Amino acid sequence: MTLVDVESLSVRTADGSRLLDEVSLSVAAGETLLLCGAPGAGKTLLAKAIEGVLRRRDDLTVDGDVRRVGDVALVFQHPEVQLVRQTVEHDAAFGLENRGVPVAEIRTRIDRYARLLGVEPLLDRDVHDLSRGETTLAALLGVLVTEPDVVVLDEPLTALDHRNAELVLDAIDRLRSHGTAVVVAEHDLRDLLSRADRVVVLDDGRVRETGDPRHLAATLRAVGAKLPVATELALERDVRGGDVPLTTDELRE
Amino acid sequence: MNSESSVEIRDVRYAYDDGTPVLRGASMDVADDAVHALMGANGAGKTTLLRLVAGLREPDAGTVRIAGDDPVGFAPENPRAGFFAETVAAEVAFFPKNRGLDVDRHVEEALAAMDVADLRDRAPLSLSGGEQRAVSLASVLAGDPAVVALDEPSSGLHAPAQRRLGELLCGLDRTVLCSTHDADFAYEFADAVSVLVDGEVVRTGDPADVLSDRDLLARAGIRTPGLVDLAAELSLARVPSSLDEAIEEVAER
Repeated sequence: MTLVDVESLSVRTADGSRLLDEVSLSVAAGETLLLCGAPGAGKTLLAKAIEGVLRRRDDLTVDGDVRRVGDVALVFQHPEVQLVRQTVEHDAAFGLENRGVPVAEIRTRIDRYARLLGVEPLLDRDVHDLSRGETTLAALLGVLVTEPDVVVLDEPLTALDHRNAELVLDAIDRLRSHGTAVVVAEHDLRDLLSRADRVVVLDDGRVRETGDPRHLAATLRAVGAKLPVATELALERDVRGGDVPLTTDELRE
Repeated sequence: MNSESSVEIRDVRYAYDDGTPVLRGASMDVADDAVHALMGANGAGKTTLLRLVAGLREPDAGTVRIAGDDPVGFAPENPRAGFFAETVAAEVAFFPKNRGLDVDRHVEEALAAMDVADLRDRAPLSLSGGEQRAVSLASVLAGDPAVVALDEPSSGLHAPAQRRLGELLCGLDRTVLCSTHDADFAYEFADAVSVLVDGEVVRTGDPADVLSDRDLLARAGIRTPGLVDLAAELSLARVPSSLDEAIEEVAER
């Protein structure tokens, strides 16, 4: 089932520069989709377009169509901007309170999704005292409680140390196991490529290719994505297509 | 002071204004003309140590000595935080002007070194993230400092830009102290690595030694370099120093 359908989406600035050019893609239920490309290729804009926030930008001209069957939620590249309350728990309640969800239901959902993400110990913490990875998790909790069908993460690993990156990767794994469709815009694919069902390669605002990660590995390298060392090594040895390993385990086999 | 060291840090302690300790007796040397990577988890004290080296803060106790007492060039993690001029050219001219150098020559050389000469008339804040990073480094290099302190210079760069940065740093012929979360970057381009854990330098040494110590990396929250993982998984006799060497090693098996 298709949850998001982007058709011929073009985004232009006031001076006519094309930031996205005739972009088409879809997001299916339960899949993990990577949006990849060099800085400036249009990843963040596309992530925002999928969520819908782009329509509210009056400095940009947007043509084309984005159809959503389900609810889509976005975790920003700088997730601290979407935390508005003092504690993680109060922040998670904010979106639901605004939608008039009854208090008991808010409690239930926060418990359920804090458990899903493994962030129960964070609930009482002040949002200003969180590490960068914890901030991403708190923002993720805030959008998950609204029970979106698709979660979009914009460069969730940038500037994170290993420990914090592991927290975010673990959360992505939990979302995937839960059946939530996950879209990740990122150029550092060392820990993400093996988690992806499909990859969309963006190049200068256009979709260069869409497909499964093994078949697109060479294209990903061409646009400057950071790949797992096993994948790099296989590409250097001219391995292509379905035989390209995404992990060192696969390389060994 | 050791005659071959450009930077000597001894028993440095520093606490934030609210009393929270950041550095708890950090000591390390940075060799002349070396590219020295500073690694550790978010909050370990990397940025504070760089700021002390750059003279932007004074230690509460201990000493930071710079050979020749030359000014140190400093580039912050977020380039936007350092920009104040209306054009790139004016931004890059600030440091050489302050040092009484030949401004035109140093500006031109720095813009050319970072490949941003075509951006000279642009407003720094209007540039893309990668361009801002390049201008920030150009503004440091223009002052011709013997020592440069760079906070996460490779953060957010895609693979080719990161490679260009690494090669540039190695070819600078100056002492470079840079923080990074990216163990692959440090492994490939640094001459030495220091690891910070909770405000103390727990290890300084050759990247091949330091970044092969899995217990240390786990304790410090540092991702194991891909080549180190690869060598362990494939039971290679030694850790290859580059992807090319890894291919040779694998081919020999």
